Amino acid sequence: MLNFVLTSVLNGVSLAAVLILISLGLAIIFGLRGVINLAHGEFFMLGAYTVWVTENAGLPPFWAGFVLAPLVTALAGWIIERSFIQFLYRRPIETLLGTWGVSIVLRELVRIVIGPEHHYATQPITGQFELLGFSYPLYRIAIILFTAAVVALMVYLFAHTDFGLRVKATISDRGMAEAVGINTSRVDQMVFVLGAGLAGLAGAVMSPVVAINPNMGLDYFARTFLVVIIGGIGSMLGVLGGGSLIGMLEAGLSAFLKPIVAQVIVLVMAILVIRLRPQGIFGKAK
Amino acid sequence: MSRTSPNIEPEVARRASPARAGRVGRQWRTVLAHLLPLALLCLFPLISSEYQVNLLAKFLVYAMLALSLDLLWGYAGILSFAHAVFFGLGAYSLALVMQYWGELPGATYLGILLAVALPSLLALFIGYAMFFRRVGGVYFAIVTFAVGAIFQSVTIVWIEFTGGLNGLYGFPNPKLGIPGVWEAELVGGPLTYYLIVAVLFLSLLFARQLVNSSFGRALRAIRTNEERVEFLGYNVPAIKLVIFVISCALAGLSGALYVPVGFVSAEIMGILFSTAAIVWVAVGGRGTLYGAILGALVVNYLQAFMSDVLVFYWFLIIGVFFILVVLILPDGVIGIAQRLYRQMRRG
Repeated sequence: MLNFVLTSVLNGVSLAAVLILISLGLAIIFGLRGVINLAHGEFFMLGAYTVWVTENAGLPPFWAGFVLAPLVTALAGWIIERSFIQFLYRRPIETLLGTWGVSIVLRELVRIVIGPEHHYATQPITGQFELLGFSYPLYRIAIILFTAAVVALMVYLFAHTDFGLRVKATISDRGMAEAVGINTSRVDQMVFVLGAGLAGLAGAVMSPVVAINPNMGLDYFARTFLVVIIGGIGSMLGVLGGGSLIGMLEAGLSAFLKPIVAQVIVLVMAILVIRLRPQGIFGKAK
Repeated sequence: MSRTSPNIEPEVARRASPARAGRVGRQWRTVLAHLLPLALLCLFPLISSEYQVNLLAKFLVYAMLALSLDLLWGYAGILSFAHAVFFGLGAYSLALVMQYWGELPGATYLGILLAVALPSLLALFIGYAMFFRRVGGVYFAIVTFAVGAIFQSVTIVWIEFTGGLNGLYGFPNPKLGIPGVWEAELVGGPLTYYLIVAVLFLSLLFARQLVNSSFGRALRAIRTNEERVEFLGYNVPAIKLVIFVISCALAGLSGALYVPVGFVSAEIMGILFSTAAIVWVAVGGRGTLYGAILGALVVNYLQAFMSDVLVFYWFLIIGVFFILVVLILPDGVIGIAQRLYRQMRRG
């Protein structure tokens, strides 16, 4: 019984960790410009594919791809931001449509070039974590620890560095930020690239434990939305809270119900949360 | 006698004719502009094969879905990524009623009723939760995205009930008429085709009345500036809720019409199908009603006549289309036509 509870909790925490890792980039971009990047899930997918491709190219297993993945997706993000998203920031609905177009194009390109089959990357850390008769895959624990490290890094980045200061200044008052000499267009770029890179990193982290296929981004992406909606859009705390809540809830419900039923319950809850607290559970009321 | 300008005669003529006559003339032109395509549509089964009739019937159903989306997105500016969910709910309602109670008299009417009622109720639930909390714009769009994604996975996974990606088949055909006295089966062919043409035409007239009413003006005002409409004393959330429910009810009805001409499977619930509907409206030109219908027909015929090689790239093409429409053609085909027409008149 205790084992079952512990396993469920750890399942929840590791799912939460992944959701947080993906949501971070989305939430940062939304907080800065009020736009949603619908191609965000595809950066996640590209990250996972990068690992798989580098592995098959004979490079040192996993770690090469792990380093490469965020770079590749950051580059893809930079190209997309420069080529057209920068022209659409003032029109959020158009951004939504445009990035959805990008999302379809990326998915289809991968399907056409690599194929629709499912792939798996090899797990770099195998083995079980064992303690007093309780065991849990080590890699999953590594995911949780890694996410904690990334979150800590992000907190440091935004709270204690010059870059974080510029971003916060731009969020609170774009005009004033420009007046004091901040290149806000550059901040937009860097934040977008950072978000894309984080999504790619998440994809790399998840590549050994999920089926890599062109549609994998979509699966996670809908839940990422729920994370930012429930948590409260545009705040780090919201992402942490929303991610933990949804991850734990879904893993908890999945222990007793079919996963799909659990997802439906989470969706209905998310809509109810919006009805009661449109700013999100952890967001501040306007 | 001196002439100041060679253009003076038409100008004088226009001024001389009473405004009333002009309006009557314009009305006649409008009636003609509607009756002509309708007559062509009615003649179509006489000159073409059954296959072509069924194909056009299906595309006209799509056109109706596009019309319902245009009411929401084109007029009220509310973008929904879940419109296929309402369409799919409508189709599944009728198909499942036929599957389980198909032999009972009047089952078709129950199916159609549910096909309109269930999407309306879902829209009421979502719309009530969102609009009265001032959730709009991008935020609303992503909630509908999540709704669409989840409905899609439920439909795919719940195979016992929905048939998953293989879909439902082998259920009794819907019948229209008076049970026990006279009934006609809807199995495609001219009868179904004429029914679809009639419903589409009536929906178009209804939509026209709606957008030309004061309610329609309020919708367009909301699209332009929601806050100002609110300050003028309008109940903006209620207006949005009403148009959302109407639009989704229409989508559900078109889903029911889809049952005799199309294949009811998880695909018509999917996000990609919602996307396709958005493309039809965007290509035709949003906020025009006619553009939505035109766009649905043009895009679907393009897809139907494409070679197999291109079909393999179809969604890639859709994606590129999306980006181009957003960047270059925000007003769609009708927008371009209007611009050209205005330039021709001026130049």
